[in-house]
Amino acid sequence: MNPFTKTRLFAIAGTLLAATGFASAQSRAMHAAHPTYVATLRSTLPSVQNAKAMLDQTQRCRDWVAVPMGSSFVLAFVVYPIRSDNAPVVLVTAPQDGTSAWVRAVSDQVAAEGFIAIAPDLLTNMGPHNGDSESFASPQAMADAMHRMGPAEIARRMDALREYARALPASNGVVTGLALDSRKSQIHVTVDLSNHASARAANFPMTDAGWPQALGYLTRETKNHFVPDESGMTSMGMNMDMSQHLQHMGMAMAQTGAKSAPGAGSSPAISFAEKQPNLPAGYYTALSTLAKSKLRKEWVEIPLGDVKLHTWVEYPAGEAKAGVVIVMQFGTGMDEWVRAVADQLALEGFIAVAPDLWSGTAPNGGGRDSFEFVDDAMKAGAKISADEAQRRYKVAREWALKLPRASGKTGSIGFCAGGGNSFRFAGEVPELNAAVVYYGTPPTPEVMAQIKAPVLGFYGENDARVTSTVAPTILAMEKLGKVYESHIYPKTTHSFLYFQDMAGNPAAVNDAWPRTVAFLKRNLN
Amino acid sequence: MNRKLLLLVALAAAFLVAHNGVAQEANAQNKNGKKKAATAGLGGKSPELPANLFVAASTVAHTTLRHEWIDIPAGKTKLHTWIEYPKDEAKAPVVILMHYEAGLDILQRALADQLALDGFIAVAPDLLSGRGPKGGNFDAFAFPDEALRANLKIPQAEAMRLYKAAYDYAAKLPRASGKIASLGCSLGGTLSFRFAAETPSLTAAVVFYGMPPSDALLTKINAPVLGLYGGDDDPVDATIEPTAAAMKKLGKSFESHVYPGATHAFLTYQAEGLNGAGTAEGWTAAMEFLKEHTK
Repeated sequence: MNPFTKTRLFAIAGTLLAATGFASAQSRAMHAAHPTYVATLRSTLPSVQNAKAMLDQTQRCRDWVAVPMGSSFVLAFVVYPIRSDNAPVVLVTAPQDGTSAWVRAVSDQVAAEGFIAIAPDLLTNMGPHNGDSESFASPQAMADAMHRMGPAEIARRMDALREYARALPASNGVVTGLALDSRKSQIHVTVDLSNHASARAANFPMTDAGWPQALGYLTRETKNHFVPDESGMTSMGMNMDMSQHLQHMGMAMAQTGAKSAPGAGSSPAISFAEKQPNLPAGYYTALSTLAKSKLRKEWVEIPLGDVKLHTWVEYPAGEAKAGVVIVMQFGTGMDEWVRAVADQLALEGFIAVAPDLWSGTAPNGGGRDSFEFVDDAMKAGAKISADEAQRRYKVAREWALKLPRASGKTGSIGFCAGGGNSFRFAGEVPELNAAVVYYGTPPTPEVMAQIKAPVLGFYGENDARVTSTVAPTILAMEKLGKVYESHIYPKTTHSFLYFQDMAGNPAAVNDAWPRTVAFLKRNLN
Repeated sequence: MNRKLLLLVALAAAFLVAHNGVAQEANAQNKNGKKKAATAGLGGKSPELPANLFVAASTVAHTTLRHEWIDIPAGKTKLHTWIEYPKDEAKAPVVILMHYEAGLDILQRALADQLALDGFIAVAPDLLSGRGPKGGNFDAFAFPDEALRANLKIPQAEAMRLYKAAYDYAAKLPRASGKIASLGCSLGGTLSFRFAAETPSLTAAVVFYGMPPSDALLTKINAPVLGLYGGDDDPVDATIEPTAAAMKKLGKSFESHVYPGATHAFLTYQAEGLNGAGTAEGWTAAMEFLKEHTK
């Protein structure tokens, strides 16, 4: 790090600390340099090296939330303690580290002491392409952005976070601050964030010895009586009775005995309330997944005769060239779930291109999103024939191949009707490099004969209409000398990647998606 | 799978496709020779059955029945409650609709609409009342999964307290006939079952794929309970036999139906697997049960 950056960061740290309420003259006067408190034993100070491992192992409930702020929001990482009564909140800020894995691991350890830890990303929407702190290329760029944002905006964001923290159902209304200054290697603790003038505060060294003192101070000053309730609570941090309900429902966790994904023996169980990093969002998590995605994404209008093909394009991180995957919508159209799948594909390194097949079907010339009700959109969308769908996807593919970052390799993936479209696309576009079919039907023998790309299909046993086509397809593809790999999952329904939470569906998702990614990488990279 | 077996399967499948392409729909209609109610596909709604995910919003928007939001006082909580009335002005039984873990969303309000169409005053409280961002309700949550997680943090005792307030309020509605039942799906089913134990004056309880309360609570139940389950829902289905045995021993009325091939949450995911059949039969059974007991 060059000296200039250090200076900048220092200034920013000062601004941030002021905003969190404890660098004011009054509070500074009250600082005890190294007050000594009874060491706590339930937590440790994570290191940069072990942060990720700690996060992977924690049993505490944690998630990203969008904290409302006017018409916008601030992203924050929240970790809940394992306790059934209300808890004080600690806002964990780190001017030099954003919401890095280390900061999140520190938050987890703060929660181990019975606090609700909230680590805000103060640079939410301030990064390149409206990205967040992780989207900055360098600490320098992050420092510049923080500087541009200025103290007033930082204070506004902290106010929104404080308000959110106070109103959390699990919070007891006490909001405190813990600022991590890795430059000075200090932990700054502020006891009452709501009252800047009289805030009690103290500094502690950021060391293994300083950590228990800092947390001991917070515990004493907030009168935080925390008796870890490991028996009465679950790893989700839910009430016992509700989580018991969930466990019995078999919805929170994948069924035991689920087949594990290839090469992913410890593949995480699926919770329908929480998206897993390595799996696409489900019905309930699609919207938040999109809102929290940090990748570059945009709507484009692809010329298509007299209408424009309204298309969602999402890019992988970095600037390298990448394979293009055309994402083909399911029966209810190109909605937020299809876009969340596109997001997952981009996370895996592909340029995801998801056209709204129903572009131009609305009375005003718009597409799916011009309808107030999805069933009306579905009715209008039925006007797009199977042939027209292929034509539209071909235009989208041609357009995508001209993108500066396109590597020249293309694949397709589709769900339900889109699965059928993806299979047929492989025949209609012999240059295609790979086709993934989720519970879709095969094309005619004539089209099938044109296929050059390998085809990978996933099906649910409890989906007779589609799955009954698999066995004949295996024979037909083999006879034609084509590559076709199929998987039929037991007790699994049709839209299992969308409705991930019942019967055999969680196990199917855990197996199918990693196979999908590996297949696309093999054929497109 | 060896080649020969594969061929056999292929032939069998081809036969199925040729002769029974709509096996699921047929199944939905023929079982037991009962009602012909059948789900109407992704983008359509059957008049006798609750809306699926994709027609719920338009169903609620287009209903001609009287409906309103009411804030029911419950201690410090203003219990935000959706009430929908059957047509005309006659007195009617009340059904307290207990929402599932995803909250009082548009699908649950469409369920209330269907209850009102079936002749019940549907009273659907929002357990997230005041628990949303800035003290808001279910609608204040920015994302469905956040609301879902918030619902899972509500203690059952608190849910009972709120539903009792709704019960007391509903009893005084001018059009209330005096008979009050509860109905819920999944988490709401679990709460409906428990509500029967905690509310001895309850008339009847319908439990769609929910869990039973503790044995101690079972002893307090007076109302007949109807449990409706999907056959592909092992964790919940494992509770049916023990519950039936316990209820029988206690001399309580417990009737259960398991729909083969239907999953958990079959009323929500109606288009999946045999859930259409589960919906058609389960909802019909629920309405017959409620009508019988709230006469």
